[in-house]
Amino acid sequence: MPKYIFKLCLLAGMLCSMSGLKAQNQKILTQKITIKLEQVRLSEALKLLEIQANCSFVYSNQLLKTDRKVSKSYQNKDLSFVLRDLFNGYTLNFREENDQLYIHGIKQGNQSG
Amino acid sequence: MNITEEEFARYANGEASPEEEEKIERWLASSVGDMLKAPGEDQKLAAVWNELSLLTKPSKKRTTFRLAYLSTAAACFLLIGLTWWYVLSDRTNIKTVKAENGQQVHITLPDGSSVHLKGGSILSYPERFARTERRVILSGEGYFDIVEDKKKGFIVQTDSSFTEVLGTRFDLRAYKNEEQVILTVEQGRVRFGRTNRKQMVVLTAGRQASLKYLGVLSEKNVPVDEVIAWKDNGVVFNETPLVEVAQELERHFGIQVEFSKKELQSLTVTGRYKEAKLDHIMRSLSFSAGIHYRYKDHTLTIF
Repeated sequence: MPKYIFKLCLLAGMLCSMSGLKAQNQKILTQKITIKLEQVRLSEALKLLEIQANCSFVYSNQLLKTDRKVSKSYQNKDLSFVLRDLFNGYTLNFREENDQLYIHGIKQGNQSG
Repeated sequence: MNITEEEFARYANGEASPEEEEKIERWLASSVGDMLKAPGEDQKLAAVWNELSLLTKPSKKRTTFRLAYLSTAAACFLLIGLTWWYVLSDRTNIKTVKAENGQQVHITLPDGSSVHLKGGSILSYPERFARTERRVILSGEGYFDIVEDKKKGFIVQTDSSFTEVLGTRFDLRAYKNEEQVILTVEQGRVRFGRTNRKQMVVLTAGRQASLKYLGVLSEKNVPVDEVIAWKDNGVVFNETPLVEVAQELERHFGIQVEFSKKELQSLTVTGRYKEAKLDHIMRSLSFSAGIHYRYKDHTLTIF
């Protein structure tokens, strides 16, 4: 039993340090976002998020199908949460470089591209 | 036979010496005589004749005859003089400046206006502007900061469009291999349209018009700073197909871009780069658009 607890602690510790590491590299993705979108094109929503997070995004409009309109509301949420929610149904990958956030997204169940 | 303007003026005023008088009349009879019978120009001649008859002292004999010659000669002189003056004063060397791909060129025009020329662009302008207008010719893209001169409009001519301003800042993009001319106004008012003036709009700050070579003239609001970011070495893609991204990279970095997968050309991307560096741009596009690239010998291959 103690062995099991020890393992659990170790795992927890590892997770903590990993998330700590993650936080260091995620200055942009952890920016807090408060926004209300009413029938706003995703391309437009991304521009508004860039302004709030004080950064710029690099993405493919075609891959993310940014022509779609959304109605959503977020209160003090991480940018990463907002993006994943906006692009629900897509597998998103992020990479930060200085004040830029690269976003890669593929529709789930679609392995091309 | 040489007759100076002074001699002729004396003759017209009846102040010429007998020798001069004879010389001029001989010249009139030989060279202008035939022209008297020339058709047209009657009204102009009559007007000149009237002027002259007021100026000329009445002379004893052959007055009518002399005046007839005189009027013709004066008209000829006037015409030649005016043409000569006009041609000489407007004849000026045309300068042509080219910004190669990968280059940007700053030009200060004779009136103090400045033009920032993007890679792959050519600007032609006179060393001295004409009296009535300031006209330049552009192929490619330029950012213009035009000194105000209300009496002398500034005109940019391209293959298919004209842009007319009094004093303002704007960006004009008219690359020959693109299907439209795009004008973006940063400040002031600009008149823009097709060369034949059949389609024309007046634009103010923050507005952009695009004129398709075959088709419509449309306008919209745009973020001007993104349009003119290139002049500060920035690169902006806004839902831009990769084929246009490639052109932009060629102009900005002076490289060749090739696609080994043609279907990638239509893939649209968005991204803003303040200090544009090729490896940075490609690294980000590669990640976001899921493309691959290889750069070797000034050639970028996208696959």
